[in-house]
Amino acid sequence: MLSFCIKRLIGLIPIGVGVVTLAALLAHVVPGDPADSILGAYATLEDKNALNKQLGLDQPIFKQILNYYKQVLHADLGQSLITQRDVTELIAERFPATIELAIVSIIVAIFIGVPLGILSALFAGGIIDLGAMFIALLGVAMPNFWLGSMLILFFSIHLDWLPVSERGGWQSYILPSLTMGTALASVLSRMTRNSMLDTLKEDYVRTARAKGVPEYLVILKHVLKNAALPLVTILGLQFSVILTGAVITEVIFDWPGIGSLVLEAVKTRDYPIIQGCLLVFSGIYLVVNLLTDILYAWIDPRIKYKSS
Amino acid sequence: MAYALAITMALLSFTANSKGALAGPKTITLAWETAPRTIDPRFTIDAKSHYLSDLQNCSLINFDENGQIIGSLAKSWAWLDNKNLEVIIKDNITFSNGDKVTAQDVKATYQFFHKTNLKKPSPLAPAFKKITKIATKANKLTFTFAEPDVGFLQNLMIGIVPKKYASQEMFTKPGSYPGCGPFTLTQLSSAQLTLEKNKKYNLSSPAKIDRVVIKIVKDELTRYAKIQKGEVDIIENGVNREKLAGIEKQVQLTVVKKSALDTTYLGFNMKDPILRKAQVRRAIAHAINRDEIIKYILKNTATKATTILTEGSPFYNKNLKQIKYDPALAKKLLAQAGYKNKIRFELNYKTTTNTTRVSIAKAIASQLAKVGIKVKVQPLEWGKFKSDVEKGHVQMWSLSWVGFKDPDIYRYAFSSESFPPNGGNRGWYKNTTLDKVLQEAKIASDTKKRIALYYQAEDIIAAELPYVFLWHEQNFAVIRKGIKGFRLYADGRLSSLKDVTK
Repeated sequence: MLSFCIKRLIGLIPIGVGVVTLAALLAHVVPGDPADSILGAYATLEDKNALNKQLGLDQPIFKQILNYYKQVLHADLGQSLITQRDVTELIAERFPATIELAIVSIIVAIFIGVPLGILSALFAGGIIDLGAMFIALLGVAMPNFWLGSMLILFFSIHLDWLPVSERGGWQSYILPSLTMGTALASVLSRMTRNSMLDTLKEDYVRTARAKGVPEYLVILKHVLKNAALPLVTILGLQFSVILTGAVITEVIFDWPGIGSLVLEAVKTRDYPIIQGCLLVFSGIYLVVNLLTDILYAWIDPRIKYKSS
Repeated sequence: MAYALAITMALLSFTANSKGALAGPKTITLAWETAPRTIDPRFTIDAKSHYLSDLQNCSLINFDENGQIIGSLAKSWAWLDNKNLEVIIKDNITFSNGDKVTAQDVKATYQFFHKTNLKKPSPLAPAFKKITKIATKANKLTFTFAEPDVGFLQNLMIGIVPKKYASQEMFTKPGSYPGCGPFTLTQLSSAQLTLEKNKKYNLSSPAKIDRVVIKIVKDELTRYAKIQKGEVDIIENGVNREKLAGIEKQVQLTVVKKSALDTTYLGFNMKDPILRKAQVRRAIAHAINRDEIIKYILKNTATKATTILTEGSPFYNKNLKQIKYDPALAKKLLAQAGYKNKIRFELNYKTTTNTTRVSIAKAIASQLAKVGIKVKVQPLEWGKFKSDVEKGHVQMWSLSWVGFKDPDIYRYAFSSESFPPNGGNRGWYKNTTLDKVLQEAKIASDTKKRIALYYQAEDIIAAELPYVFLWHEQNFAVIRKGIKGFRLYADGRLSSLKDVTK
């Protein structure tokens, strides 16, 4: 198990190098001059050149990349070009909000998607299955910007039950987590259904039934437990997607997370923030994928044997 | 399952920071679409930072509701000659910590722009480089300039910072310095700004409310939902204009409108072989039905423009005539210019991805198609759009000049010394007579002479049409019923917030 983890960790190094290099090159591939962001439209060419020199943007690209590596290795992501605040501080300030929303969304998705998938599998081919899969299809088909707005209109304006937006009390988590969790719930319900249907055909399930084990125990103990394996992979991957793809939901619900931070930074060409967020997003993907692999190997020992 | 979910939610309610509305009878809540870039008056270049600075600070001059210069901290001012400006400041005005605002504080604030060893230079510094000396004597200041520039007066709207703070780097946290405006910023987060009443404010009548909360709500639909639900009291220009008719019918909301200082134009690249012909530009101007666009897209919240400045400006040439919608004349002019085919030529029209701007571009393209000009509309992300326009990788584009009060904008937009990257002459328009007139107007300290020169400049521009001036969009605000005393300013500032009651 340890050698498996070490091998996976070593495998992350070239990806990390690639990501940092890409982040360092960002200021050169996106149209627009960083000096414009700082000095505004009325600055002269002289002022812009002087500022680019001060920021080190007049140096050769390879030197800029090396400087960026030095910075990153010292855990220094630089300062915002606009507000002059430390990028690390800004990300640390916003990250908890994103994590919280992602966790609640995952919980919402599990509580909606898994039961729906179980019901669908148990009544496969029937009206319940059809209904559940229709709901799942609807969940995937609804874009977040539309679903979020509709939820606001219905629950906040029409029924006046919930706040429109902002991160506040527990009520404020309901609409954004439903918005983000619905699509994931749909994926989970389909995965649960398929995995359950496969497991239901297994010999050990037939044996359990033949032994007279009550049906609910067969489902919970023998079927669901074994059907859960693919769900771990999906949840792992989707957790990264939710963490890094919350931009639209965060904007609709004024959620002060990392998604809205990166959107603001893109609009103002605040490169240090974009670079910092890019590193964080990539880091999340790498760490979550690593953890999923380890978890998978832990649940199913055959994985590590194959890998070794 | 529902039980587990309820527990999770309850736990989160303990861990999350409450950012809910600060309720109270004397709190006014606004929604802004973007956060201000800075809270430091010495670095403000965006509209929201200006509005915030205006609430927190006092400045030598200010602008009235129509955008005309008025004295604020300055009791009076006079040009001693075209290089020396004398300003007398009011006595006994105080900062929020109770200290008096002195001429030394004003001097220190303006001297900051000459500092060279800053981590981040102020974007406003270039405008103040021309000040060579600031002399003070009691409550009198004399600004001396390297070169004559009578339009400089409008730059005296920088918020004044006390001398002992004025040389510091950019302020990034509330409470970094005391201001002399009607409110003091007490809380700043990515989602919200809170300003409390400055109890020491004595430049004019004190604020009638205790607190202003500004929520940053990026999504337009969410802003609209928040004001409908009563989570927000005032939204200025932050709702789609297409919704205004519907909002006006709602019992709990009211809409106020005011002429603004913004001018939207259609720009032409003079390096383009087709668009460098004056007849073609005039034909395009006659082929655009602005009334239709104002009615159907802008929902009657704009008035037709003849030049950059608006009618309220003393430099606005009242003799300028509106260009009539006349497709027949447009066709005739195009034929005279040598374009006689059914499809006369093709043009590329770049705009931003803003939905209203794209709708306008498509409407213009369809109107131009009627006179035989095929237009390809290309919406671009702002950075790419700006870069293309400044590099001249464009034939036609539309943009707005926002909030300009001083006529020197003509020099910035049309003088040949203002070709990018040194200025805003993005169409590469060159007219030596105009250059001369604008240069003369810049240094003319006699107001009558200055007005006459700008009239002449506006005549030249109207005759040559380097732009088609489209319209001046109005400012508007959606306000909850029960909010009283809010007045719109032509430049969008929120100075009237101190007079608002709830």
